[in-house]
Amino acid sequence: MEHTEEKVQAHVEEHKRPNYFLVFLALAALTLAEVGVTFLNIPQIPILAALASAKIVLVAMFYMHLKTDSKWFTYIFLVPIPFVVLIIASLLVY
Amino acid sequence: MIELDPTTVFSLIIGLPLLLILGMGATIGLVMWFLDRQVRQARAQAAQRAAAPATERRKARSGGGGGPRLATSPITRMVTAEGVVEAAPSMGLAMNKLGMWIFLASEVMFFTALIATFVSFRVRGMMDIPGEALNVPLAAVNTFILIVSSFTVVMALESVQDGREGRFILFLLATLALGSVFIGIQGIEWSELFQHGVTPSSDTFGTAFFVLTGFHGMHVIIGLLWLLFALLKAFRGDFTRENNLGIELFGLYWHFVDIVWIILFTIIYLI
Repeated sequence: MEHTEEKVQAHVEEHKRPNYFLVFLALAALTLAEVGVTFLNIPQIPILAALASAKIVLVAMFYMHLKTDSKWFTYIFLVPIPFVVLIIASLLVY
Repeated sequence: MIELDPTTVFSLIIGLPLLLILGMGATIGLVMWFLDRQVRQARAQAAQRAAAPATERRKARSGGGGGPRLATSPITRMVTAEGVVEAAPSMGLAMNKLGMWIFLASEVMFFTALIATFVSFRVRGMMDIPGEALNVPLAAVNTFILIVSSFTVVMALESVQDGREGRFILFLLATLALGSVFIGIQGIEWSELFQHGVTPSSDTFGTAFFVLTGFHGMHVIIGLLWLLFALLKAFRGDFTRENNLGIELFGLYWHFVDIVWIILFTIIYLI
């Protein structure tokens, strides 16, 4: 009985885990897309910023487990964001 | 635009981030202290109620005094009448992990100051990017290597959590190799730039480039040293299915270093 419970628990945990290889493939594809964009005659800055942001979100959510971990860690990681905006704004405005 | 002399600009660049880091640290510290105190007091009161003998509880209900008092200071060990008691972490969080996230939040501020300065110089046209000296394909390969290393770290964590020790050590070794290759390629790139006359003191770009990539490289080297230490512990069998927080903390640091490189690759090489 206990053995079956363990198996069920392992099965549940396995399903909770994201597919890390899929995340890796997405990151590699996004990197390729970034390099590819530089060869195209289109407005590059917004596209590159979006691609880099997507990569950061993927790493933070899945590899750093922010998606499944306590929300406190996400809040702590987001605390500097207003300060980040303030620093960038102050450096660009002076 | 407001005209400022270089000394004021320099003081702002250095002083502002420092002030903001201190402010952020103090804010986080105060909030955590307050929450920690609230949780501990609630727990201590519950424990107090449970520990008090029935007669005492009856007396307390009828307003005739309380049970034994418990210490409620925000520490992980409490001295009670029964001896030293290990307190459970408040808020249900592992304190080491919480500390790592607070450290990473401070690192965000540190790299923001450097990256914002670089972007500010670029936006103002205060530096020329030596397009012919920058090796974009090599930097793209390095980005790919760091992404693979993030994958191997997360697989190492998964392996140790599954109790597959051989696989765990193999993934740690792969991460060590990939991190070392990253540093090696960065060394090649730096020497290429030196050959093109781009040095830390050649111009604004040189200074900004070497400061940014230098600090990032230093973080990678610190990560590699940490990884060596973790590998030694892994070979000794210190990490198990139940005890693997050390690897998780290393992973958080390594992934953060990866995130910083994702930003550097975009703003230095692509934009």
